[in-house]
Formats: sequence, structure tokens, C-alpha cells
Amino acid sequence: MQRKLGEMMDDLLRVDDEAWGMYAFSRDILNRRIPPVTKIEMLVRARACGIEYARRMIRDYGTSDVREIAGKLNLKLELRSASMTGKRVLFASYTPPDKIEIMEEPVRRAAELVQAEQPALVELFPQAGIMNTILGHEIFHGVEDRYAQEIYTRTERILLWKLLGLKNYSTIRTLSEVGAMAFTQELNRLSYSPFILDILLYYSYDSASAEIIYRDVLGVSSGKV
Amino acid sequence: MDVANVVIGFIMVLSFFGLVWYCVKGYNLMVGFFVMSVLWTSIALIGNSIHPTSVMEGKTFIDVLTNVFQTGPENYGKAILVNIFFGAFFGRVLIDTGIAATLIRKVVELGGDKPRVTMSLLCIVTAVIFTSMTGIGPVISIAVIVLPIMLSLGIPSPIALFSFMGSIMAGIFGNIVNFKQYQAIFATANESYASYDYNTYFKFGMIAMAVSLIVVLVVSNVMMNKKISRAWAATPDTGATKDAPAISWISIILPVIGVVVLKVPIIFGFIFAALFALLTCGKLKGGFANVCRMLSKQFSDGAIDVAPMIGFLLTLSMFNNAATYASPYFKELLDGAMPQTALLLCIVFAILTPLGFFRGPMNLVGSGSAILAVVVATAAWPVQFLYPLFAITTVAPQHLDVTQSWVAWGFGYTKVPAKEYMKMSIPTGWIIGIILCAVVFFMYGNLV
Repeated sequence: MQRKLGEMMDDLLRVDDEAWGMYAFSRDILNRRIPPVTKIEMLVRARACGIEYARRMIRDYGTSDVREIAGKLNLKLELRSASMTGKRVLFASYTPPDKIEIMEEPVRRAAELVQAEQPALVELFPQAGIMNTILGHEIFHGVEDRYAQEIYTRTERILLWKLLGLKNYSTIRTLSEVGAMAFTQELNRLSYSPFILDILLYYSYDSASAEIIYRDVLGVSSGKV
Repeated sequence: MDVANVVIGFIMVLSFFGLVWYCVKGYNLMVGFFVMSVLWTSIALIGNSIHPTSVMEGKTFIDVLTNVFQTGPENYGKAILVNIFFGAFFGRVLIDTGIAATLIRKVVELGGDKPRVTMSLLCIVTAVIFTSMTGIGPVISIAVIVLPIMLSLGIPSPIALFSFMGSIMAGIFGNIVNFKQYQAIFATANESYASYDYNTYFKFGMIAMAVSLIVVLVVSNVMMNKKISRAWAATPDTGATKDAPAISWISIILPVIGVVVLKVPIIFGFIFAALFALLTCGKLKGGFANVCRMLSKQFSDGAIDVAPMIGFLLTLSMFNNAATYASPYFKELLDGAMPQTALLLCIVFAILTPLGFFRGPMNLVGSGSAILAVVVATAAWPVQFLYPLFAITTVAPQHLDVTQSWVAWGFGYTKVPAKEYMKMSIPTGWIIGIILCAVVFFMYGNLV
């Protein structure tokens, strides 16, 4: 039987940062190239990096308001309706040098869903709050661009292959995402991991697939995968 | 110049533009080509009763009907359908064994978080895969792996879709099933062309594949500019499946190796490669009955993959034969305008390559079979020279075109507007046409 949104959110609110990070890794194209122990070390550092830069923004700009920070960083926010490719639902994107796009529809649908099915969670997931969480996440990618030479999420690399003296290193996209989640969590003072929005926002489009993501997260959380 | 023949020629040209309009509007091609076959046969029969033509000499009304509506599909069935069915079966095996998915994952791991490098590697492996695979089923099976990877790397969806479809097009230049399909059309136009085989075409096919892939990658990279984005998206699919063993990967190119190096017949090549893939992936286990059930399912799944194409190909074969009866009227109109030298023909094909889009008059799997009949009727072109020219104006435009079934599917999947895609696909098809027509002139122009 399919689980209700409220039940899933209750479980997910208890998932720790490491499990969310491992869930993010499970979607990474380089997932199988990194040993589990290394992943855990990387996750800790990526989170610390996100928090550090959030505090730096607050210190430099004297505010934790994401819209103000976006303004100070000259990032332009555009709202779009929705974007789905197959089963992939896009919530937001950052395109260098200064464009942030947020999809309004998933945010609005998620807020309406929470209101209708789980009013007790409205305080945690108001529409404006979800929007700010997403905006904070995308701001981090802009910050990464500005500090690309020094920020951990862009300087950590793994060796993919070497041949006759040639070496190919790659950055790890998951670290960037984990850093962005920690960044927006710190700026918006959230008591939960913003990764939870993956399930909440997806649910209004396809509840069965949202449950698959939920089970993936719990599987990671319980060490089954 | 006979006035009646000219009038009939004009009516045929008008109906030809009607067919192009019909194709562009996206109506059902199977029905469209059947209606055109009936129309051209009827007009040709009327024309023959007014002023007898050489192509109908000694033929009764029933002979003409038999040639168009019976012999056409029958010959097509013998020459192509079997190859298509076995090709589709082989495609299903590559999907079910996870070989195609494994190869894709491996190249992604080689490229890493570098969108341009990884996109290029994905396009190369996709092109190689589609030298053997065919049909919308395998395309979708590969697309749902490749496209999400490209999108997760921040490649804009129009460029992801274009580069993927472009690399399939590049692979089709070397695809044996497609070769057989177009070669059968050539054999219909001129019986002496039936001896032309894949081995003779192979060298040009590989050059065409490499050139097309390079052009597609250059266009994709230029269009990408600095627009690589970071996206927050969710998907239920982790893509975490077991890898197929390394030894099994070679099965992707086994059919081509078998035909080119060992000279084995293509159907045997497909069966052998499929069994090799199944064996090395440990799928031939669980008892004889189970293996039989699996093989039967893979064959029927493959047949379903190509089923939508079959009806269209059969009515296209009717149209091909009807076009031979229409050729005297086109010749009447175009006789003075037809190029007579290799250089001029190559230049004309290069300039007119875009007319291969929308199943247009340069496209053999569109309305181009009539032009083939006219070209063949005007001069004795050697097939080694003429086939690559038509392959260019057929393969490049058709497999980038919005009328191609899997491209149409791609629009629905990625929500990319057709207009945005066509801004890249049409210039790319044309550039490829110009380069490859030059290649044909230098490789085969001396044969004319």
C-alpha cells in the first residue's frame, strides 16, 4: 500500500545529513568511482564548506535574507512554470554568470499539497519558505563560481584515469549539491535537510515515484544500500 | 516536347509538393505513400493511354498493378524485413543484457564532471551502438539513459537532444540494416544496382560517420557556449544496475566485423552476435525452455520495436515502383536541367541536401525515390558514385528530422520546442551534406 505524504515526511525529517549525502551520491555519475569511506569524509567537508560560506555571506552583507544576498551578488532571479524530462523534475537551475531560474509550479503544488494533506507541516514548508530554500541553494552555485579557485566543492577532485603520463581528474557534482544544501539550510535556519524537498516537490507530480525516492533515502539511511 | 506529358509531369510535381506538405504536417506516412502510389500509378496509366511510354511498353493494366502493389512489397519483404527483424532482435538483446547501458556508464565515468568531454564520449559511443542497432525501441532505451546524464551535467536540453539524435544519425551512416533498406530501393530503380554490397560501401560509410559526428559535436559545443548550468532536480531513477562483463561489449560491433571482415551474411551476423552477448552475460542459463522463452520474447519485442516502420516501408515500396512509371514525365520536365557530370551532380546534391528534410525530394525514405528514378533514367551513373550521394541526402536530413519517429518522441520527452531543435539540425544536415558530397566526388568522381 502506498504511504501517505505525512508518514513519509515524518520519517524523512529524522534522516541524518550523512544519509542525505549518500542519497545524493547515489544519483552521481561518479558514484561507483569513490569508496564509501572517502564519500563520508567528502560529505563532512562539503557540508562544512556550505555552512562556512553561508556565514561569510551573512558577515559580508549583514543579512541572511536570500533575496537580499542574491541582489548584492547581482544574481538575476527568473521564475518559470515547470520543467520535466521523462521522470526528472527540475526545481531550479543556476546558469553562469548570473541567472537563477526557479520553477514556480512544483513549489506552489507542494505548498498546496502540504496544506491539504498535512496541515501540521505548513509551518515547516510554507510556499515562501520553500522558495527561499531553493533560492539559497542556487545562490551557493553563484558563490562557487566566484570562489572557484579556493572553494572546497570545486577544488576537490578524483583521478578518473591515467595513461602514458596523462591524467584525467574530475570534480564531483554531488559535493556541490551537498554544499548548496548546507548553505541554504544555514541561511534559512532550517531544522531539516533541504534534500527533503526532493520528495515533497516530486510528490505532487508522481506520488508513486516520490515513494521510490523516499525508499532510496531510507535504504541509504538504514545502510541497506 | 509533348504537351500531354508536360501537363502530366506538372500534375505529378504538384502532387509531389502535396506529399511534402503532408509529411511536414506530420500526417500518417503509411497512408500518405499508399495514396501517392495509387495516384501516380493512375496518372501514369492515363498518360500511357494518351501517349505510350517506354516504361509501360508490353505491360497490361494488371501487370502494372502487380508490379506496384504486389512485386514492390514482396521484393521489399525479401530484401529488408528479415534484416530489420533480426536487427531489432539484436537491439533488444543489447538492451536486455545491459551491454549498451554498461558502455554508456563506463564512458561517463571516463569523462567525469566535464560536460563537453562527457557529452562527446556519449555521442561517440551512441554512434557506435547505432551502427548495429535500429528501431525506435532501442533508441528510447538508450535515450532514457543518455539524456538524463547530459541534463544532470547541466547541458541544456535542446543541445542534449540534438547531440544525441545527431550521434544516432552518424551511426546510421554505418548501419547495415539501413544500408540494406536503401540498397533495395536502388535495386528497384535499376536491377544492375542490386550487386552493390555493404563491403563496397563500408569505407565511405565510416568516413561519413566520422564526419557527421565531428560536425554534430562542433555544432553542439558552439551552441553550448558558456551555458552549462547547475540544476536542482529529482529523479526516482538511480541507474544502478549490474555491469555487463567486458568481454560482452564487443558484441556491439560483431555484426559489422562479421560482414566486413569474415564476409558472413548479415542475418547470421546478428544471430551470432546476439548469442555471444547472451552467453557472455550469463543469460543462457535456467534450462532450455526458459532460454527459448527469453529468445522468443526478445524477438517479439524487437518486432514490436520496428512494427510502426513496417507498414510505412511496405507502402514506400509501392511508391518506389509507382515512381518508375512516373519517371518519363519527370524526365520530360527536367531533362535539360539534369547534371551530366560527376562534379555538377555532387554540387547539386550538396546544394539540395536540405530537401532531404521533411521526407522531401532528396530523401529515399521520403519522396526521393521518384528523383532517383529520374536520375537513373538520365545517365548511367555508377552505383558506387550514386549510392553514397543519395545516402548523404537521406541519412543526414532524415535522422535529424522532426518527421523521424524517435526525434518526435524526443520532443515529447524533453519538452524541447521543435523550432529550437531545428535551428541546429537543419544547418548541421546541410553542412554534413556539403562536406560529404565533396568526399564522394574525390573518392568516386573518377568512376563516372
